[in-house]
Order: sequence, then C-alpha cells, then structure tokens
Amino acid sequence: MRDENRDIEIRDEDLLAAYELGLLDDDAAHRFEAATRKDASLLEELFEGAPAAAAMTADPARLVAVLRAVRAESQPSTYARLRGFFADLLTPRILASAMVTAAVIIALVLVPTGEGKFAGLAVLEPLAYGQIDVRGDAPTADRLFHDAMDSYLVQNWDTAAVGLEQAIAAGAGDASWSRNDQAHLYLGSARLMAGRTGSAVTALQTAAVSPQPPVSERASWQLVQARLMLDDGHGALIELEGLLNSPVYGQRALELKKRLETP
Amino acid sequence: MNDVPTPEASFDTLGDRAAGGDGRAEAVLFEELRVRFLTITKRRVQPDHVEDVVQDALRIILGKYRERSRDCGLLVWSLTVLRNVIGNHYQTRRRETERTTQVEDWQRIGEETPGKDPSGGLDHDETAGLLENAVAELARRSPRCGDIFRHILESHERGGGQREISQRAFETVCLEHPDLTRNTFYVALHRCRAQLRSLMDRMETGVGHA
Repeated sequence: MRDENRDIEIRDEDLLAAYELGLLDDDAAHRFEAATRKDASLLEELFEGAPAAAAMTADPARLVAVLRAVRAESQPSTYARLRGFFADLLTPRILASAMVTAAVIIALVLVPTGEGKFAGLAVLEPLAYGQIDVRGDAPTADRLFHDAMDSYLVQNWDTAAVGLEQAIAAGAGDASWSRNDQAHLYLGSARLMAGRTGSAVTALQTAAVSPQPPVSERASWQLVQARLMLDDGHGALIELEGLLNSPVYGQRALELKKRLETP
Repeated sequence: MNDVPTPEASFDTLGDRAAGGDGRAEAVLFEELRVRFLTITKRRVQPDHVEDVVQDALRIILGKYRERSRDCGLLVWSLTVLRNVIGNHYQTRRRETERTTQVEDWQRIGEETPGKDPSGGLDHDETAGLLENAVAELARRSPRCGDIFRHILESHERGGGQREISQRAFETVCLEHPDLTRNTFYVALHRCRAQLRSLMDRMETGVGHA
C-alpha cells in the first residue's frame, strides 16, 4: 500500500497539468483554482494551454494511437526485422533495376498526357513542419533528416528530397529509427512540390500506412492531391474515403468528395 | 478590492450545483469566472473593449454550461470560450477597419489594423494537428513522458468519473514507475506538460509555411 501521508509537499503550479487533465479531486482542484485568482502567471499558463488540454480530453483515443505507435516504433518488431532482412537483400544493383522498372510503370500508367480534368481541384501546398534541434550524438539518419528539413522549410524541394532519401537509406538498417514514416511523408511532399508527382505517390503510399494518424492522414491528403494531379479522380475518391473520419481533414475531405462526385 | 467570498468548492462542483438550480452557486461561479476573465482580457484587448469581451464570453458560457461536454473541466472549457471570443473580437475589428479603409490604402491594411490576435489564433484543427505532432515528438524524446500521457489518456478513453480516471491512470503509471507517489506523479506530469508546451511553441513558430 502506498503511504500517501509520506508524500512530498507540492506547489500550486505543479498541479497545473493534473488539473487540466481532470485528475484532481475536488479539494485539490479547489486549491489550484484559488491559486489562479492570486497568481496571474498561473492563470495565463492555464489560458494558453486550454485549447490543447481540451483537445486532449475531447479525443483521447486519437492521441493514444499516436503514443502507442511511437512506443511500438522504438521496439524492434517482426516487421522491422523483416525490413532489415530485405534491406540487406536489396543490393544497389537490384534496387536500381527495381526503381527503373517502377519509374517506367509510373510513366506509362500513371502520368497523364494532357490537361487533366481533376488537376484543377488539387491544392498543392507544403506541409507544416517545426524544426527541432538534434543532439550532436544523434543517429546519422536523424541528422540527415534534420538537414533535409532545413531545405524543405526554405522550399528547396529537390535538395530536400535528396536529403530525405539519404536519411531513409541511413535509417533502413536501424530498427530503432523512429522517423521513417515521417521521412517518407515529407519526401512525398517535396517530390510533389517539385512536380515529380509519380515518384511522390510511392513515398506517400509508404507514409499513408503509418500507424501514426498525424503521419498517415497527412500522407493520405497529399496522396489525394497527387491523384488529382495525375487526373485519377477515382483514386482520389478512394483516398478521401479514408479521411472522412479524420478530425483534422474530415471536413475538407467531405467537401472535396462532394465536388468530385458532382458531374 | 474584491469582496465576493471565496467559493467553498471547485468550479465543477459549483457548476453542478448551479445546473441543479442553485442560484447562489451560479452567482459565485460567474463572479469567479469574471474576475479571471478580466485578468486575461486586460492583457489582450484595449481597455474600452475589455468589459464587452468579458460579458460576451460569460453570456455564451451561461447559455451553454449546462449542456457542455464533460470531457474537460468547467474552467478549462470556459477559457477556450474566452479565447474564441477574443479571437472573434479581433476579426471583427479587422473587418471594420478594412471596410472603412480607402481602396488605395488597402496595401497598408496589414500594418495598420489591430487585427493580430494575441491569443494565438490556431483553430481547432490546427491545434489538434500540432498537438499530435508534439505528443509524438515528446514520446520519442522522453519515453517516460510518453508513457505518462498514454496511461492518462487511456484512462480517459475508458471513461468513468474523475476519481476513477485519476486512480486508474495513477495505478497504471505506477506499474511502470513504482517510485512515484501521487504528488511526484503530478510533478512529473507537470514537467512533461512543460516539455510538450515547449515543443508545441517551437513547432508553431518554426512552421515554415503559413
């Protein structure tokens, strides 16, 4: 049994997060609220954090999915081990042949020849990204990712794409690298912005099956735009179906779906 | 300066009593909200508009607090209402300025209007998206923080009253971190929140594409 009487003293401000998330009993909540009347900076902090706190408790399942996915990423899975096996198997020569074949298929099958009727509906815009510093001892893949995202943020799409390809290659042998899906997302976006729509699709498809909703949904939305650019209205509709329940993209997906279905 | 008695219960308890028809509880609740709203609004809105903004927010809360979702506490919910009202106030002022500005002056609108909303201005979708990214990044950088948030949110997901959600979250966190007491759990959570806020701020300001 835990001896609550031997617990440490706690300052009012240390109750903030527990208060926001509704964990305090009535006495502790009352104590914290009284403090917000006396301490303007504490009230200010509560005010600034209120939208995020409300978003957290309004849809906990979504954030739980994000957190579980990140947790799973950090533990080598069967998939990661298999991925490592195939990465070893794919020598540069085999990989180059496969890429050439894929490029030919994409060029023949997917790239439209004329002005598409759906391309006008596509909204090509970069994805938001907040650059985060990396530690000096960070893995190579993280550092390459960071540098590539510097290029992405200044809209140097080709350099960003090359850097992200390098980051993905560097991370391929490291089962604990947690940015693989994120790197594919931004690689797809960079290629899309650079006008390389066909190759953007391949990267975005990888990101679209990420277990992290922020990655998978953004990738799906970018895929919709890529499909539209490729004049593939049917493909865009299929991607949109998967976004209809998204709290972030749901409304936009519904509106676009209606426009696509309007003769 | 303020002679209103300190409430004897939390906002949520006062809200429950008020919703049940206790007029005194409702009066105390709204006075407590008003005092806090004034503090916040004075820092964001010109003095002659402060009272209007606060009254608008209180009017909305009075109309909705009985039916509001119980996902988050009454004070946190009320602060999101105030935030929206302040945002709307700035939008309205911007539109008014644009309407009264001569056509040839339109280029200067951006510099001259008081339209920048100091409350931040992210809408619900943007907040949700930013929060998801920040939570994922936090969990990568600090697995312990990721675990703490995950257990709390899983407990919210399973539902129940405040006591049940809180106790379940605490017990599951303790299974992985048996060194925690109730208060050290709150302190640890507070530190994780500070990291999350810092990541959100950096992501928001570091976003390269407005």
